[in-house]
Amino acid sequence: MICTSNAMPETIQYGHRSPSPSYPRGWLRTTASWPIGDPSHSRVSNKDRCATPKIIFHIPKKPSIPALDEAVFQHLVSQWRKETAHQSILTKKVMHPAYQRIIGMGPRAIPLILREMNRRPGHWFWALDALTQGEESPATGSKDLEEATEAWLTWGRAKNYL
Amino acid sequence: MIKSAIYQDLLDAADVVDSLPNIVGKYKRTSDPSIKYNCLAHAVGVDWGWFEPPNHLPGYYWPPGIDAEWNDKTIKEVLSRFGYKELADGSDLEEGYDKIAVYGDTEGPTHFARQLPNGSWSSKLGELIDVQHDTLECLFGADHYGEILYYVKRKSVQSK
Repeated sequence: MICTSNAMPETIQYGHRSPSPSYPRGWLRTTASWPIGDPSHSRVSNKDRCATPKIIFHIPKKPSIPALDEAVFQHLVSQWRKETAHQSILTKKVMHPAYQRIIGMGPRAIPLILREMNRRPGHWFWALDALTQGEESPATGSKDLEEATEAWLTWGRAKNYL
Repeated sequence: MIKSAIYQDLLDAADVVDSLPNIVGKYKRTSDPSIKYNCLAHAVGVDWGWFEPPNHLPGYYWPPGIDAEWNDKTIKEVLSRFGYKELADGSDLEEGYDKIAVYGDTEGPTHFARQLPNGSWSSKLGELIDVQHDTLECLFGADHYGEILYYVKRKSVQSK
């Protein structure tokens, strides 16, 4: 058997990761060629095996988010939480420069915010309201912030952001 | 499952350390993180609302009839609404009274700690966890909550 770049004895799979920029477009694959435990594995001689395992990235089902956006967002969230998570006054939280920069990312920040909100509830209502101008807030009528969070997450699922 | 809970505890503790480094080693965790209520609500015994002057966003709570601003005057009115009408002399435990320490800086009140029957204090740290702390000073600092502005008290609910 000839070893090609598509036939590898072992694979490393990463979920929802963007490929390294050094890999060409179209390289993405969704399944492993030779899962570990496949009987065909034993028929491959050592000389035919490639030394380097192939890295396979799953294509996300949801619209992909550019890696740079995600990295910038996470950096800003980290900075914002570190400096405001202990504060109880909303205006101090939402006027923080990192929070304002997240709003400045525009609508592409919406799925990132919703994912963050889903993982760890926080005061993202101001940003979501600013980024969805013209739409009625899905949290209207919520009696507390837990309800408001759930309303935004439900809205995000309906819009395929989550 | 147990590992997951421990991991979550560590993450929560890391959040506290990140935000309030001076409190390290001086507090006991008493709740999970929550955005359902804040320190002002916690101080007056409320766990169902995040007290915030009315704005265009749903989900926040502000006692009706009080100006929609966060300043010394409106905060005193909120505290008064929950029975904390008297100023107290200091942090000493006073039998028959509930006491709140009001932290603040030049811009006004920033944080509230409720005294517990054993003389220690209970605080809700923003959107993080509730903590019990023996001293008020562990939350002092420009990057924390400033310093104590004043104390207020009310007849203890239990003693009525």
